[in-house]
Amino acid sequence: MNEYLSVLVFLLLATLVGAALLVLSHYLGPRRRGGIKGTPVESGVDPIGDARIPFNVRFYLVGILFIVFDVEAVFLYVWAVIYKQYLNRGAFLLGEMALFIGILLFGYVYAWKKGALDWD
Amino acid sequence: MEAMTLPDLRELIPEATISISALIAILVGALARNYSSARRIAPAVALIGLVAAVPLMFAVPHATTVPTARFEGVFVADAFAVCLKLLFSAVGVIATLVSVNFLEAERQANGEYYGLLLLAVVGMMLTASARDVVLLFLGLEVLSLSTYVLVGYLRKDPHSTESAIKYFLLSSFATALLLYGLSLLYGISGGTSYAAIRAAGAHLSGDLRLVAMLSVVFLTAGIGFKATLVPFHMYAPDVYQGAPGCVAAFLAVGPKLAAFGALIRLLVEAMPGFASEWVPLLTVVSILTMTIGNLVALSQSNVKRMLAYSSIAHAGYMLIGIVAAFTPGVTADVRSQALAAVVYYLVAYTFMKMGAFGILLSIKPGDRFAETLDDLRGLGRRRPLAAALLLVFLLSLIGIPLTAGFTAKFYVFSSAISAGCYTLAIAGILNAVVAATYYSRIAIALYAVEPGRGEPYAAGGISLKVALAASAIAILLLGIFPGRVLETALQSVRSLF
Amino acid sequence: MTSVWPLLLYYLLPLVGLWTYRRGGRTGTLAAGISWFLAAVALGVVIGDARSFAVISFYLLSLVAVMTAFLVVTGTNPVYGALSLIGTFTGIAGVFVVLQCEFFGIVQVILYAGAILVLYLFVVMMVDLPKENAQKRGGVRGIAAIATGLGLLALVVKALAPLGMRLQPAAGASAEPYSVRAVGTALFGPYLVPFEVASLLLLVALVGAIVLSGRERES
Repeated sequence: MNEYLSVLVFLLLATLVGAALLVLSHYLGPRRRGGIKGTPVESGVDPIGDARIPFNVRFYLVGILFIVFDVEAVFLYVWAVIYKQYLNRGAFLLGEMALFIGILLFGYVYAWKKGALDWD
Repeated sequence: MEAMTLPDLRELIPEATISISALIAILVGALARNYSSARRIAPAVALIGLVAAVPLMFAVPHATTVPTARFEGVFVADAFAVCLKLLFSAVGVIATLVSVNFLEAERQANGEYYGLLLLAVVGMMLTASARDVVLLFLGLEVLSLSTYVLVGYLRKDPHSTESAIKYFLLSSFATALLLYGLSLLYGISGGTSYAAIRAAGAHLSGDLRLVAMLSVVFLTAGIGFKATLVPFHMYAPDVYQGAPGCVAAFLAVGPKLAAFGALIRLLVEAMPGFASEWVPLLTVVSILTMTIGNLVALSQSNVKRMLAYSSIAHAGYMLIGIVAAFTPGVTADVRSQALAAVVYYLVAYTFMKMGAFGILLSIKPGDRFAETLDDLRGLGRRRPLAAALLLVFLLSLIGIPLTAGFTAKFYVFSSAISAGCYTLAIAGILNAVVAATYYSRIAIALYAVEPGRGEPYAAGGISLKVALAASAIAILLLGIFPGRVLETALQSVRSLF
Repeated sequence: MTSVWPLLLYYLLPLVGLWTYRRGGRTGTLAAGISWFLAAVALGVVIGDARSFAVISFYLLSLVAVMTAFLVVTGTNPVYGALSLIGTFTGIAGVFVVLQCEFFGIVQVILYAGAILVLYLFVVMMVDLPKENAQKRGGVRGIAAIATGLGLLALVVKALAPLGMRLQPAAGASAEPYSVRAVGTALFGPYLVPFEVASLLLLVALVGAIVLSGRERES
């Protein structure tokens, strides 16, 4: 557990520094309220209307694809860590991962062919 | 360096075959330019995969011949698993045959449909073979996830979408309960394999009894949702009614078979030490399930809903056999007979329920498929063959002698009596009488003198006819010559002990 | 039986959250959670004992998880709810780290706080539930739900309390049961079948999403 002490000290320091900066600027900095300063910045676009416009379902499809390959990346990491340890079983391990990725790749090809990746 | 223990991959060949044909079907769906070019290929691929898996199940060495490997591994293909997988293949084949015409009538692209159907069957097979709660959970999830999509497959039909959302939300809730139960079980045993759970259950200390009780309750809720046990049955009528007809036929059977298969293996291999928690709970659930299912079915005028409630009631009958098998003090002989009766009931139930739902797809008064009692009125004169087939399914659902439904009920009730569960047996028999009234309402409507509205016309193609005729023949054969199937069921169940 | 009290207290924390929620809104609740966390860190450093340090971290990290989960359930704005869920996931990730399952902690952050939460947000934005429609819960059903939840909670507490709140690994467990190596050896060895089934599950999710979203070429 003690190896995390440094992490916690780091977290504590980061929080303190962040909080200190905010508090200091709050008390030390000059403040002028009102006028154009109060309007939200929207990268040059007039901030008009509701921010909650319905998203297109395509975002969701991209999200699903992202999750699928995120999970794959996590499994790949584990796989890479133990691969060297079991070199005598290397071909078998390779086959396992190839099958796993193959099935997901199939899903990717399917999404591609169905036009789920097209944006128009 | 520690050695890596590897499972015997040959046992997975049937699942792999079906998965590959699922992938091909999905690919066909992706490559087809329009709905018509794929409509023959995908179901053919599905049928080939399902049928090819059957001989492959026998090509692998069964665990029964290697007794030393009994409680090891995550996955096992013993006689019990093979027996259930044969049934699951049959479910897949019937569901495919029943779907062809429906999808063509709805002009739906179908590659993905058959792919997901096959993957649902793979999920069922995995639960039957699971010897570890991780695989059990994954198998149930593959099954559930595929069925959510199948229920909502008619995207332009608001009923289909509504029932998909309903099914998805409630099922997710049930899955969460199941997971919580499994995590408590893991907490008790410190392992996820059935062997570890069995070892922990063999000597449960007083401290752990309450945790065990909680986990059993949550497991019953999670698995009971799939098996439509009261009070987790509410979704079934709504979902079956709104789902596409062919999906309803699969949904009424597939998840239920998987749930009962998983329940039997879980009880025998993992949780015999928890029997004192299971038995009272399942006794009450069984009585409630059949009674509520039958009583509510009495007041239905929509045949799909009526069949849904009847499927709930049938789940209650099947539970009788499971309770009888695990009643404290029964002999090993009675136990395996009771479980074999449940397996036999599953087989009979598959054909009669899928047949009854399938018939509705062959009658199309107006622009939609038959749903209400009125739609079926006077069918006996216009479509004598369809009416006769439906009559066979209804007689079997009632439990008239010479049909599979009768023998199934007979075996289950008599196993309850020989196990000493007289309350359950009496409740079952009373329920069977009540149930006969609403099934006969359909039968009377079929042969009613006054014609109903509209002119029913044939919507069924050759594949639907084959599926329905095969189901009816199976029901009659099972009813007249039950011995062979019961013997197989008995042997498969004995492989568990 | 001594362990009943911390457990009860622990599960009463949502009520503390409710109180701060009424007083100062969500920010107040979050601030309370964060300050508890910092207090735990300070306390752990002062005591300096690894075990009590772990116990305290566990309670406070799970406090963050429980409180933010409370915000998810009680909030009426689904976007805020999804964002509060980040806190829950992070808290759970922290608990994993305290339990020396670092790998799962990291996976929790990468998969849940990263990928799955993005998906939640997309769904929330896709559904476009106007704020007015997200009604406050309450009434008889609300009370019944709360009563059921508390009853279940009482049962779980009664069941788990006698087992103690031990954080140390059970005797006989291997030194690093949840290291990446151990996970990999299990996953690619005996758990090979579930591993491959997981890819099928992901495939079903992908195909299902595409089928249901109806992004297909018109024929």
